[in-house]
Order: sequence, then C-alpha cells, then structure tokens
Amino acid sequence: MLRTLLLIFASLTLFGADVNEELLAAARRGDLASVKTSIEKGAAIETKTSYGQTPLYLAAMSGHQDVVDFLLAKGASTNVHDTFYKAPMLVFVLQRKHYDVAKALIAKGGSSPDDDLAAVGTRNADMVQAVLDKGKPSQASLDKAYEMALEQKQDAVAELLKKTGAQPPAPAVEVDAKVLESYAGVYKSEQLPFDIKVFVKEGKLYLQPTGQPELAPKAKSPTVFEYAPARAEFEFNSAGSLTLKQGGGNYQFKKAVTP
Amino acid sequence: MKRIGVLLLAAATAMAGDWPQFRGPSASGVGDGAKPPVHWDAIKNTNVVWKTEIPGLSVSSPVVWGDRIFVTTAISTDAKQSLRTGLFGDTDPVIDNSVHQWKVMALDKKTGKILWEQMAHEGTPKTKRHPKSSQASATPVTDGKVVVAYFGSEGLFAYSTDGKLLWRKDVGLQNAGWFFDPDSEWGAASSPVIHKNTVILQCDRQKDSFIAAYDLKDGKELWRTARAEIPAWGTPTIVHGKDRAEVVTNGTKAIRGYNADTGKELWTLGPNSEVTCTTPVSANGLIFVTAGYPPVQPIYAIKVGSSGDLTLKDGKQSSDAIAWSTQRGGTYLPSPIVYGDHLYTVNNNGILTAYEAKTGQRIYQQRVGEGGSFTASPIAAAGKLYIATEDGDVFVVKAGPQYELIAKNPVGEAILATPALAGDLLIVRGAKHLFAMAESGN
Repeated sequence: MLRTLLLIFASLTLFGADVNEELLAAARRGDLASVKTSIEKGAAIETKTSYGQTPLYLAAMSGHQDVVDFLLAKGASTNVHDTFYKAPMLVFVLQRKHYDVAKALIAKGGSSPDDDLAAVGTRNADMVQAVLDKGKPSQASLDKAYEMALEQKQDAVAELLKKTGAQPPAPAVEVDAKVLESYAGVYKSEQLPFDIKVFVKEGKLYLQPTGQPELAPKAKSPTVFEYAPARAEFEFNSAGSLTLKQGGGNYQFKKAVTP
Repeated sequence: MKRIGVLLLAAATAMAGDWPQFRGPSASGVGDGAKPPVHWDAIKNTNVVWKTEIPGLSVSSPVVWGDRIFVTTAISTDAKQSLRTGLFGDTDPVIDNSVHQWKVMALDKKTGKILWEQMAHEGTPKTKRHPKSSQASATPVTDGKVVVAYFGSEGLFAYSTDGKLLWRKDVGLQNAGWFFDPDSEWGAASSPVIHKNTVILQCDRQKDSFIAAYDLKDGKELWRTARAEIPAWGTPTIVHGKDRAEVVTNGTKAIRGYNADTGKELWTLGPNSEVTCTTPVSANGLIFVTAGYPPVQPIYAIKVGSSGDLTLKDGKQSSDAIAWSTQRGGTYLPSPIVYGDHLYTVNNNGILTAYEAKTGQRIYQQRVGEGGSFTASPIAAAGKLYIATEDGDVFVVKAGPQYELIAKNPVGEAILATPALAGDLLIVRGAKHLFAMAESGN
C-alpha cells in the first residue's frame, strides 16, 4: 500500500514538473496555445526556472505580447526578480526594446511606481511617462531620477520629472581644498580587481578606477561623495582608506600610493 | 625501411617554429625561440612580409606547421554581415539565415599564397552566432599530417595537410548560448586539441554536454564522457603530469580534469563563473584557470596531478591541491598566459595584471594603451608580450615585474583572433586579411 502511494506521489510530482517545464518552454517560445494547455493541465503560473524566471518573465523578455497579456490577465506577478542578475523583468524587456510589452507590465503590474521608475531608468521619456501615468513615485525617487536625468543630459525626461514635482538636486557641499588634497592617491582593494586613482583638478575631486573614465562625484559631506549615474558612493573613512558602496555591496580600498 | 620510419617520425614532430593549435604548443601562448618583430605598421606596409585576403567571417586563429599555415572561415552569401566590436552587453544573436560556405584553407608561410582551400560544408547555419563571434570560431589543430577543423553544429572535418578530406563527423547540434535564455544562441567556439592519435572535443551546450575523443585516422569515437554542464566556450588543454596526461576543461558547474587516454573524470573544482570562455594554461607544475563572469571571477592555480573534489573549504584560498586562488580578477574572454615567473591576465577592457605565478601575489595592474576592447588572448616571445585589440593594434609590452609599453603597432583591421608565432614571423588575423610581420619584412 505504502509502495503504491509512493509511486502515485512520485508520478504526480513528475507530472507537475513536466507541465511546469512545458509552461516555461511555451512561454519562452511564445506559444500561446501551449501556454493555455499547460495551465489547464495544472501547471503553476508562478513556476520558475533555476534562475528564478517565471513564465511571464520569459514571455516578456522574449517580447511575446499575446502571452504576456494572457498571463497578466491570469494574475501572473510582475514583481519578479531573477536569482542570478537580481533584475526585474522590465530590465531585460527594455534592453531588448520590447516597449509595448514594457508598457503592459507597467500598466497592469503590481510593482510600485518607485520600482518601475528605477527599472526604466532615465533614458526613455516614453517609458518614464508610462510609469508616471500609472502613479506618482515617491518624492525621493522622483528627485533621484531627476538628478540622474540632468547628469545624463536627458532633457525630455528631466522635464517630465520636473513637471511631476521633482525638486532640483541639492548643490554639492563645499569641501576645503586641503581636505580634498588629503584624499589624493592610488587606492587598492583586496576585494576588487582594480585600483582607484583619486586626484584633484581645478579644485574638484576626481576618481578614476583602473581602465575606466574619470568620474567627478558630488560631495554630500566632507567625507562622502556620490556619483549618481553609477549609483555609487565613495566614503573616505579616515586618512588612507576609502569605501565604495555600490549595488548593495561595501568594498574597502586602502591608499597604496600618495602623490 | 628504418630510414623511412625515422623520416615519418620527424615529419610528425612539432618543431620550434610550429604553432599547431589554439595558442600554440600546449596552448601556452608562448613561442619558445621565436623572434617576432617589435615594430611594424601594416597600414604603411612597414615590416609586413605578406598580406592575404581571407573571405568571410572568422575569429579562429591561424595554426602553423612547417611551411604551411591553416585557417578556417565561414562565408555568408549576405555580404553585409560583419563582426560587431567594442564593449557591450547585448545578448541577442545575429540572425543570418543565408547560405554559408565553411572552408579550410592552407597558405604558404613564406609568401601568403593560398595553396589550397576546401569547402567543408555548404548550407544554412544550424545555430545563430554572437555579434562578436562567427560561424567559424574554433581554431583548427594539426599534428603535421592531419588538420582538423571544427565548425560546431556543422561538424568536425579532417584533412591531410595537402587538402584531401580524410573524414567528417557529425557531432550533433551545438547550441551554445546564454544560460539565461537558450534562444540567445552564440555559437560554438571551443577548439579541438590533439592528444596522441586522438582529437579531443569539448562540447558544452544547452543540453547533453560532453567531451569526446575521436580517432585521428578515421574519426571513430574512442571515448565520450557526459558533462553536467551548460554552454561554455573555452578550449580544453592537455596537461602532461608525472604519470598521466589529463584534459583540463573550464566549465560553469566545475573546472575538471579527465584522463586524456580514457576520458575518466579525475578531479573537479568550483565555484566558477556562469559563462566560461578562457583556456586553461599549465606551467611550472601548476594549471591556471580563470573566468570573468558573475557570480565569481576566479583565478585558480591547481597543482598538476591532483585528484578528487578540489573545491576549497569556506574561507580557504589554498589547499594541498590548490597553490593559490582568488575569487576576483579572473578574465572573461582573453585567456591568461604564464611567461617566466609571472602570470598575466588581460581583461576585456585592456587591464593587464601581472601576478607572481607561484604565489598569486599581484605585481602590477595597468591599462594597456588607451584601453578599448580586447578579445584575443596575449601571446609571448623573446621577453615580450603581444596583446591585440579589437581596434586593430597590437601592443608590445616588456615581460617582467614592471610594466613597460614598448610599441603600439597598427594592423588596420579589427583583431579578435589570437595571433600565432612562427620563427621570425608574427601572424595576425584581422577582420579581412591574414598578415605576416617580421622585423625585416620589407
């Protein structure tokens, strides 16, 4: 009896896995009929690949509008981040220029305007408008996006955000020239495979990671500097050390060379 | 009879001037005894011995045996097709469903004259390609008697060095692409390598990955080992240890060593990047493996002859089997090189880093030239490193503990293929031509 029950359980589990796989594959290739059949057979609408992609995620990143519309109507969640890139589906949808799919996800999805605004960035006015049409983001999100749009010279996006109520960015904090000079040098990290050169040019602090262009961060305080386009913050903790804060990580650098 | 036997043996033994496979002898990238030029200008025709147009698109490297150079190419009937260079993260493949011709060509090393060309296959590509890649990305391999070319889904082809087709082998659909979206096909690129009388092929694809050995004589499969792997693009390396030869493979789920005679798995090591493209190199009793994609960008220095699961315990960077390691700093496309006492890595954006090969201590890190995009792997000879850029220049850097840029030499065409060394010649494959440079080229 136990053996029979185990066999039934095993075959049901296998069946579940198979229909879920079918659903994921059908969503990825844009096969609406098979998507419907898989769901009728009992496939889980939020089933995931090993990278955390749901059927809606796969259909959206492949630009299959009809499958996206169907899954959204079935209540599929848009608030899904994959487990590898930790990216919301909107990121890949926009990267592949599936703008109509992006608009559908924004309009019908359950994610917040703040999350949507962060995902669409500040380079496409049409997409920013789609986010604003859905609802007003928080003041902090608006202001941050506005500052980034100004930095990137995205005038149309900046204008949209300003009209929605974004406030002009606070001016940079004035930092004493001697303090800036004390930061100059080459910083090395045990955590990251590049150095950061820090230097002062025409009274402004610049940072240059190895192999990358010069960055001109904005002083938020005498010790903290922000570079908005890369969402990076540099904190000079004490003489000779620097912390790079980016993407949720904190990376320590120590000054190895003083000019 | 005895005399004939000696002659045949001599004909099949690699000489100092030969460059028989991807990255030359043992995939080292090092040309022992080679004296390539330090300065040239292919645009002004300075120190250029010859220049020969090679039709089609290919990022495979030239190989050299004796007085012959062998190259592969794929010629699309869509004349607009090109390689997209530069630093970009786009994942969408190129869709070119036009008819292609896959060719193997032999050139005279002294003159660049095309001695023969054979069409291995004609048809529509079975898989797509990455914008930076081609339908002929694997470098051919030769033992001086047989030249083997691998064209992914189009198959494995063996020719005599005179251009006679000896055998062909269908190795199945090689749909190597983005792990995150299998529809983003990027094409196969791992090159075949020769071990004794076999040609070994690493086929990491979306499903049913494997490594196999085929008889050089007739293409018969001699062994095949399944690999629990997702797509990868690195070429396997044969490493000769004290009492065994092993095939070292760079793969996502694990870096692995196999007995080169039987295909039996000997050791595994992780973690590794989700996309692996570089080729392992071996020197001074160590095997160096790098990878440069998230979630980790490791460099491992593995002791030759190790067995079992070599994965380090949490927080450890070395062990009885691992001389040193780091989880940051591994490179994505260019393979590393060991030259003298140093391990050098070149990142996609041209950051050259030098390490003490024995200890892993970082000696220096320097941007080569003004940066740009780097895909070709560095090679070395006569105390210098040769580093080619997609912008069409080859930088010559002094080898050693201090960075010193000696020369920047224009080729005038995008370079994605790793150059080859042959005696006094440096052989560079540009986007449209094969060039031979020498110090007295004029």
